[in-house]
Amino acid sequence: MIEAGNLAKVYRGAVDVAAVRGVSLRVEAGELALLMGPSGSGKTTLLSMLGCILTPDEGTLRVCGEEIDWSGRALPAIRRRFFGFIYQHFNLLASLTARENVEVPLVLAGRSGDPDAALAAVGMGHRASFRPESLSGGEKQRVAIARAMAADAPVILGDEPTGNLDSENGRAVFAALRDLADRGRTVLVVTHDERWVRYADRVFRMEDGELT
Amino acid sequence: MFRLAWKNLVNDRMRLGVALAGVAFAVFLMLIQAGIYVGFTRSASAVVDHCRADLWIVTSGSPNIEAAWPFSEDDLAAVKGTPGVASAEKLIHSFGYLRLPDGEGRWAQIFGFDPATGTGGPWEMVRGSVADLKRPGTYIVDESAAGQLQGLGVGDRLENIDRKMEIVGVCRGAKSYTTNPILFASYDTAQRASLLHHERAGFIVATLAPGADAAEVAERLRRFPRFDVRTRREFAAMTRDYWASKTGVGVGIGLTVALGFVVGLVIVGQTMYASTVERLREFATLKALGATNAGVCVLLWTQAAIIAAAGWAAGGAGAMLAKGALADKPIAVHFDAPLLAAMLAATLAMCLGASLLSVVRVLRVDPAAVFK
Repeated sequence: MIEAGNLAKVYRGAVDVAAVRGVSLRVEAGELALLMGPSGSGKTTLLSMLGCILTPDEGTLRVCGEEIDWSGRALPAIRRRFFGFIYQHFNLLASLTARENVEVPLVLAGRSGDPDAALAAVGMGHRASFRPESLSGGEKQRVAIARAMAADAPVILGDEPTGNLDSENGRAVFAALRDLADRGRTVLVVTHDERWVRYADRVFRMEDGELT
Repeated sequence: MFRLAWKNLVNDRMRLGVALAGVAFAVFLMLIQAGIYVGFTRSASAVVDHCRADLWIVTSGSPNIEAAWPFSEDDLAAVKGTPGVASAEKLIHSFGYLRLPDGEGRWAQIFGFDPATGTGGPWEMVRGSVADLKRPGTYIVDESAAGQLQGLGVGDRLENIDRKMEIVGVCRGAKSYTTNPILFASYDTAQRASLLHHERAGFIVATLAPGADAAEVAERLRRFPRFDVRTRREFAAMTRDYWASKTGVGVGIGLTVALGFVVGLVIVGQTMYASTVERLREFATLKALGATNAGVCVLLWTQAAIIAAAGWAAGGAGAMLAKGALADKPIAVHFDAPLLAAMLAATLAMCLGASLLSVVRVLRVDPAAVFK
């Protein structure tokens, strides 16, 4: 479960930009929620704060019932413990094989796990020894999903995970995310593609930094 | 992290090759220069190091084995009579001017000692025997001097100023550290050949009686006017220090070693930084996945350490080959375990230092960059 209360973020600069203005939301375990909205609406900033990658200026965040302490040093451990991430650009490590990429969160968390099982679960078992440069976009994203699953993170956050994929691969990705939610994980995905609403239990829509 | 560091390196073999070549070149340069320095200073003190005596008595102010002010041979009796001294012998170091077969003149260092005891003489014979020096006018040359003496060997004769001399043996290990070859002769022969030391000894070396304390005996000997007394190790160190610091050799070689260090630092630093900048997104991903700043620093340091170890091995192997190629040249190159260990430490420091820019850059990477 993830619960945000009045999260706000202003980017300081020559002109201050209020990217997120007091957003509150809650996604339960077992739910797949979509965060939708036009470009510049603050979706990615909100997702970054929900994933404890970006520190909010205001507001609170509870993950699996635990209040997040935003004092810097604790954040990497919080990310290792609670979150799996899936990105639009996959962000796989180029020098590692698919299996080794899936192992990264396990190594960072100091946990044992079964990367081959995670890859098999997304239909990538046969490509475990391939490096990202040898994989298609859909295959890369499935490896990224396996990486998010491998450390058994209770919350999966995705940022436009189908943004670089064709429809068929997009459907496969959302089917996998749906499956993760059905198995008890909290899944929140940023997308602007209305086709994926049918996979969601809940849809949040953002505009100008606020939920509408 | 080691596996990721390793894979990051081997994934870009061209860049790894450049970094390794830079480190290997730097190590080669530093090691050869340091080896020449060690070889040079060891050669300078070789006669002292291999002398079986415990104490060296020289006149006050004598800085090394080549520049000892002579003192009266009568002083030998005073040393022998000092409590704690089991035996004492006189040695002499002088220069001769040799006329080679083709008429060329060449200065040579001559060490004179008592062939009956061998103290202060050659320590490894290749041909002939120390006892052969009992015949007046005979000499033993070091095998490394063959080139300097135009290939003269056992049985050959030549002239030292106006005196006839004959080579009766060849020794090993007394490699010259200057342009002058090293010769050994009996004390009397060396003294007669000397331009300076008639009826005067260069040094007196003393062997301690069983159970005698070197410091106490040295203190007793220092009560004699003009005596400066050093243990063998002290006198050897004085000789090495003299050549290292008073001649500019140490500074010259030190500058070359520093240059090698800087070359390696710049090449590795530039290569690592370029690689790091290319992988900033991956570092952001690692941070987003929960890697700490310390963790990504360890990753970079591991890469630096791998480059250092491989570069040290490659540069060291090259230096060993170069040492072998220089074996018959009149230059001593010496590598020992402490030098190789020090070079490994210097290489590690060089590569870790070179990674600093990359570390600073990675520490500033915002994990939120993964969403951009």
